[in-house]
Amino acid sequence: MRRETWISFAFIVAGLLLVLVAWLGDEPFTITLATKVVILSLAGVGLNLALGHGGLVSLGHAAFFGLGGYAMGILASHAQNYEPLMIGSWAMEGTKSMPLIWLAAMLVAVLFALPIGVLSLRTSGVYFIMITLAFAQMIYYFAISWPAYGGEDGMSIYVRNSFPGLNTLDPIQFFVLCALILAICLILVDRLVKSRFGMALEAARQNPQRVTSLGIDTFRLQLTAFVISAAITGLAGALYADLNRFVSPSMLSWQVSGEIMIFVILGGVARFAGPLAGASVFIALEYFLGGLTEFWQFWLGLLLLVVILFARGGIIGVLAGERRHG
Amino acid sequence: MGDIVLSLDRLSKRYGALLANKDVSLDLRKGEIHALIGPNGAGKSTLVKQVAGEIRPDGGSIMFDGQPINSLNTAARARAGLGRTFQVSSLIPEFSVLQNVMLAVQAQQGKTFRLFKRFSNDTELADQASGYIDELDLQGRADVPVSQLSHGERRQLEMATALALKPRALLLDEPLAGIGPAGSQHMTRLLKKLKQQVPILLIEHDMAAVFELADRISVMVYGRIITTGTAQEIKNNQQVQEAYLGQEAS
Ligand SMILES: Nc1ncnc2c1ncn2[C@@H]1O[C@H](COP(=O)(O)OP(=O)(O)OP(=O)(O)O)[C@@H](O)[C@H]1O
Ligand SMILES: [Mg+2]
Repeated sequence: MRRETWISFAFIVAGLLLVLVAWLGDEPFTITLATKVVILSLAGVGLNLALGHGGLVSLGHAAFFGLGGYAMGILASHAQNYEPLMIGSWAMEGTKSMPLIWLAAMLVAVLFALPIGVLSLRTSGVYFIMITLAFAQMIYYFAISWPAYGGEDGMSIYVRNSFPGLNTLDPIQFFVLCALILAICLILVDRLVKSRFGMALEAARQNPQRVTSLGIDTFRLQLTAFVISAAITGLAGALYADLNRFVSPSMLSWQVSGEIMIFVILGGVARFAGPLAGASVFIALEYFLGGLTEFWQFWLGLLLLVVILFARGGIIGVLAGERRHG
Repeated sequence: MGDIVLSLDRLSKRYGALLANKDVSLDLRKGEIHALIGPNGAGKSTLVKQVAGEIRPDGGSIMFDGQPINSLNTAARARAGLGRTFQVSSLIPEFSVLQNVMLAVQAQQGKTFRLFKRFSNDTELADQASGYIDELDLQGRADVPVSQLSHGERRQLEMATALALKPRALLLDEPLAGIGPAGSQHMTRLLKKLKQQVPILLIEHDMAAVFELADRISVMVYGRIITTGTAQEIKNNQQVQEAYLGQEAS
């Protein structure tokens, strides 16, 4: 455990140093790439809570990621077009303010995660995977066929949204903002999984019968974890859309669900820095190998296979030289 | 009869063509151990699962502490004070002894939804948990992970977690199974002590232990209770001899 903590911090420091070098060397592209890693890690941190700690293998987290993206897209587009957003007969102003957009993104993710969780938590195992996937696909097809916000083509935002006191168009400033959010979420999730709640959640993953016989409702436990997990992934979605100044149904696609899951598994399921390591390696492979060959995903698949067969603890687990969650 | 804690009235449960429990009526009184014996497959575990709420009865009712509990789910029944252990021991495998009991203490306090209160250095939980660990003679084993416990120790740990719930009735499904003669004697002593605190419905195949511990014994055969009586009455019962005890002796 000590060694894992050490490795995690070494990993984070190395990442920050890389960004520092890129900043000093005036390489905005590298900084943007690092920002992408940070945001995707955040999506993974969300899923890791449900999948790693709760044992809830959701193949539908793209729904929350995409909904977060659309929350940003819709609010910002109404703001930039000076059109009020009508919810029924109730008119709401759009906004370009990041904090408000983040709140909206998390709220929307929570509102969707509640019914999705209530329905899918009635099942487990492969059925849970399929139901979460099915919900995400429903939302995906809805987004494609909904013309008001770009339909299949998605929609662009002209200028990145604003944060008080920062110039978010400056890559390094946006990076720092995203990294801070990631840090806060990492710490909150870490506190959460080590709390009374987190231990009960962990116990329910290992032996739900036991936890129920202690008088704890495993359904409530897992639903809470699922909803918090969705909120974090939704927040990541809003940031991701802001990074690209673009949101489209592809953010909701099942490939995205799969990729978020790959971050978690590659980095190390239920590991503090697992999603970070997973997303970093994924993006590095995509960027470097993808530049060399179109078949970079083949090598990714091979790596994933090796991790699943020989190193269940993922990259972090291997580096920490221990085995857990066998 | 104000001293009845748990009372089952004509519980029935069918698995397809198999009638696993048929009109089972039985009660558990304050201060007693009521043993339920019967051959393999008689339906004893099925009865316990119905009482604990893990399976729904097809008919009949369950009163606990004067309240009907048929409509409560398993967790709610546990919170109402029904503690249980399982025929195949059921623990949190990656947790230590202490963590297993701490989880039970926390469940009993009803404070599981404290999202940011750190578990591992929660002295309030740990202190109480240690009390139960001592009571079940597991002192010195607190930090051992469940995977490294002996079978007997797992049984003791299950009992400690059940006690940590401060139950008002205990359902024990074969607590002596597979723990060896020394373990059995140890557990028998513990159960005798426990009986002072909480009434126990005890399912057990070890007849020596049953005769030593039980105030009353019910005999189940093919899903029905054929008789209930004291140890002496059961020993002398012709029907029981044929159905069960005789079988073992032969
Ligand atoms: N889920 C189930 N589906 C179908 N049949 C079942 C199920 N559970 C138990 N049975 C059958 O019901 C009967 C009673 O089983 P039960 O486990 O209650 O017996 P028991 O008295 O506890 O036996 P033992 O002493 O071996 O533990 C058995 O014939 C068993 O095979
Ligand atoms: Mg049984």
